[in-house]
Amino acid sequence: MKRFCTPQHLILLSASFVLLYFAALPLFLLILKSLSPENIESYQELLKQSNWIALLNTLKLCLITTSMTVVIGVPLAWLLHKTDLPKKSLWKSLFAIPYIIPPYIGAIAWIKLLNPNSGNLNLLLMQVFGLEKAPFNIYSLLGTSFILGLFFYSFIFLSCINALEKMDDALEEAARTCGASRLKTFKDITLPLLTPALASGMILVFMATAASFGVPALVAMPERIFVLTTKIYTHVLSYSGGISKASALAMVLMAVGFLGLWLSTLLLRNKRYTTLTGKFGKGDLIHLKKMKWPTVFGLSTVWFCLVALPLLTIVISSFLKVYGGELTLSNMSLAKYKYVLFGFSQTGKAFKNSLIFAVIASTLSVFIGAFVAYLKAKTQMKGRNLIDFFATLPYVTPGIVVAIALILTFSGNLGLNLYNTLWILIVAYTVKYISFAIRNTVAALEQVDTSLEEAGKTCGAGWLKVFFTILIPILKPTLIASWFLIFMPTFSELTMSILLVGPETETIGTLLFNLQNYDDPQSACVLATVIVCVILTANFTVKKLTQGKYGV
Amino acid sequence: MSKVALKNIVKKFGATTAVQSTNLEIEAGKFISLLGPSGCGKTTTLRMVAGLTEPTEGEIYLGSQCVYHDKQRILIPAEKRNIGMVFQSYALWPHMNVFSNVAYPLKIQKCSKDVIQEKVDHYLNLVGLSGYEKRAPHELSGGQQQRVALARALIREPEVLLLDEPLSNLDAKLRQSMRIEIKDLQKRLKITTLYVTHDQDEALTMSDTVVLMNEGKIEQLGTPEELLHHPKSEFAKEFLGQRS
Repeated sequence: MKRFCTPQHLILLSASFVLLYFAALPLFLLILKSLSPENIESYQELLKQSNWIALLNTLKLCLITTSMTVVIGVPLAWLLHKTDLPKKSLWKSLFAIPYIIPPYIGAIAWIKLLNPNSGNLNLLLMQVFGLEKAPFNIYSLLGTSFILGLFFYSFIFLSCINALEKMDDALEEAARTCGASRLKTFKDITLPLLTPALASGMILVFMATAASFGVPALVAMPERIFVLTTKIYTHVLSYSGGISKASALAMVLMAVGFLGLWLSTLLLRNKRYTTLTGKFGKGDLIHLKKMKWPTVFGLSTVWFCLVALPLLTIVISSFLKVYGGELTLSNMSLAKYKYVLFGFSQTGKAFKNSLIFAVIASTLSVFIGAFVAYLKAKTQMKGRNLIDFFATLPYVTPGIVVAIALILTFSGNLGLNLYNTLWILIVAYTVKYISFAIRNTVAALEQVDTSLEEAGKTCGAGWLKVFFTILIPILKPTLIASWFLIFMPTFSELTMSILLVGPETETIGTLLFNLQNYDDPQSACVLATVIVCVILTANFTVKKLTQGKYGV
Repeated sequence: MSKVALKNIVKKFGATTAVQSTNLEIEAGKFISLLGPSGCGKTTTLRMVAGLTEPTEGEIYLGSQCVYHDKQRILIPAEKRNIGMVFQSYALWPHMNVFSNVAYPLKIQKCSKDVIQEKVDHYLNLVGLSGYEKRAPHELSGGQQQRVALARALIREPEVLLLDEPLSNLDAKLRQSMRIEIKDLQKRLKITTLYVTHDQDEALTMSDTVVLMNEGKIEQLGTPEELLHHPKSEFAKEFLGQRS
C-alpha cells in the first residue's frame, strides 16, 4: 500500500502550502476584492480622465522604451557575437552591467546631467553650441523612457546574444554561398531566426517598463506626469479608501502586462523553430581589420555615455563639498560619506534593515525554492506544475500590485497581521523572487541522475537524509548562485518597499527615494554609490564562484 | 581547363597552421575528394574555396576568375563566388519551407516568378522531392533534408559544387544509397565537385581523384586505385588500410 504521510510528502506539501498562502492567495484576493460589488465605485472612479491619461502614458512609455532597447540591444549583440573584436567577454560584461543595477540609480544620475536648469550635460552643451536654452529636459515622459531604455536594453542584448550563440552558423553561411550579402543574410536569415529570442526580450522590457516605479516617480511625477504605477502610489498615499481605488487601478496595470504577453504570443505564433541537427559548426568571425580600432573606439564611447557616465556622475556628486559646485579636486571630500553613513541616524538603520531583509528573503527563497524545485523536477505529484506556475505569478506581476495584494491580505482582517512589520517586506521579497531559485534549481536537478538518490536510499538513508547529504551538496553551487541573484535585487528593492515600509522598517531604497525626492539629493548619491558597490561586489562574487555561469 | 585552382595556399589560426602551402587543381566536371582524419585541414581548405574562411597566403582561382590573391589583395566574398555548397548540418532555414529554401539563390538573383517556379520544380524533381514544396524542413527525414540542401546548392548552376561531410549525419544504410545518388547526379550534370569526407569508402567509391590530407598537408593525390594499391607513405597505408 502507498503511504501518504512520509516525511517527504509532509515537507513538500508544507513548502507548497507556504508558497500558495503567501504568493498566490494575496493575488487572488486582490482580484476577488476589486471585482466585488462594493468596489464598483472604484471602477467608476477609474473612468476619470486622469486615470486614462496615466494608462495612455504607461502604454506610450512601454512602446518608446521597447523600441529603444531593440535599437540598442540587437546591433550590440550582433557586433559582440559575430566579429573578431578583442576582449569580447569583457565587453559583454561591461554592457550587461545595467542588468543588475536598479534603474532608479540611473534616474538620479540623469537628473543631475539633464536637469533643464542646472544639468551638467545641459550646461556643457549650451556652452559648446552657444545655446540659450537647455537642449534636454529629463523631467518628461521621453526622459523617463530614455533612462529605462538605458537599463532595459540589457534584456534584449542578453537574450539575443544567447540565441546567437546557440544558432548554427552554417545557416548564415549557407545564405552567403547562395549569393546573399552580409546585410541580406542578416535580414533574411539572422533576424527571422532571432525573432523568438527578440520577442521574449521585448515582452520582458514591455512588462518591466509597465511595472517600473522608481524612474517615473523621480523624473515624471515632479512634472505631474503620471503613469499607472505612480498613480497607484498616490492613491495609496492619499487618504482612507485610496487602497480600493489603487487596487482597481492595479487590475488595469495587470491587464497591461497581459496585453504584453498576448502581443508576444501573437508575434511568436508559428515561430518556434525546431532545431534540426545537433552538430553545429562554428563559423569564422568577421574580421574587422582596419575597422577594428574605430569599432573599439565607438563601443567605448557608447559604453561610456550609456553606462559609465551616469555611474560616474553619482560617484563624483557624492564626493563634492559644495553640491552643484565645480568639479575640482579641492571641492572633493569624504564629508558627505561621514555624515550619511555615520552622522545620520536613519542611514545606518536603513542599511541594516535592507541587509537583514535581503539575507532572510534570499535564504528563505533558496530553501523553499529547493523543495518546490524537487517537487517539480523529481516527483510525479499531481499539481506540481500548477504550484510552479503560482510561484512565477508574483514575478510577472508588477511589484506595486504585489505590494497592494499583500497589504490587503495581511493587514489583520484575515487573521495574520504583518502590516508595518519587517515580515511583510520579507514575504514580499521572497514571493517576488523565489522563481529565480526554483528555475535555477530545477535546471540543476534535471542534470542529477535519479540513481544518485537511489544509491543513497539503498545505503539506508531516508529521504530527508538523502536530500540533505546528497542532493543539497550537489546543488550547492546553484543554491549559492541563486542566493546572490535574489540578494542583489532585494537589497536595493524600491517598488514594493515604498508601499510596505513602516516607521521602523525603512530600507536603503526607500530612504534614497525620499532623500532624492525631498531634501537631500547629495546624500541620495552617497547611498546610490554604496548600493552600486554592494551589487557589483555581489555580482563579482557569484561570477567567480560559478566560473561565469551566473552573474554578468 | 581547370575549374578550381589553389596555389601555395596557407591558413594559420593564431600560432597553429591548419593548412600548409597547398597546391591543387581540379579539372572541369571531375569529382575530387579531400580525405583525411579530423583536424587535417580538409574542411578549412573547402571553406577557403567557398570564401567562408580567409586564407593567410596564396592564390585561389574559380574558373577564370581570381577569387583570392594575397599579394594583389584580392578577396572576393562568398556571395560573389559562383558556388553551391552543402553543409554537414544541411543548414536548411527553419523559417522557410522547402520551396523557399531551394528558391532562395534565384530570389537573390532577382529571377522572375515563372523562372523560379520552373527551376525549383526541375531541381526538386531531380532530387526526387516533387510534391514536398510546402513542407517545413523539420517535417523531413535526414535524407530528404540532404536532398533539399543539394537542390538548393545546384539551382544556381554553380561553377563548382562543394560538399562538407554531407553524409555524416545519416544512418549507414541511407549513406550507401545517397552516395550512389550524389554520384549519379554529379555525372549527369557534369558538375565540378569538391567533396570533403573522413570516410575512405565514400572517397574511394565516388571520386575521380582522391586527395589524402594529414596535418595540413597533401599526403598523396591520385585515383582511388592508385591510393588503394600504391599508398606512398606509412600514413596512407594505415589510413586506407582501416576499411570501415
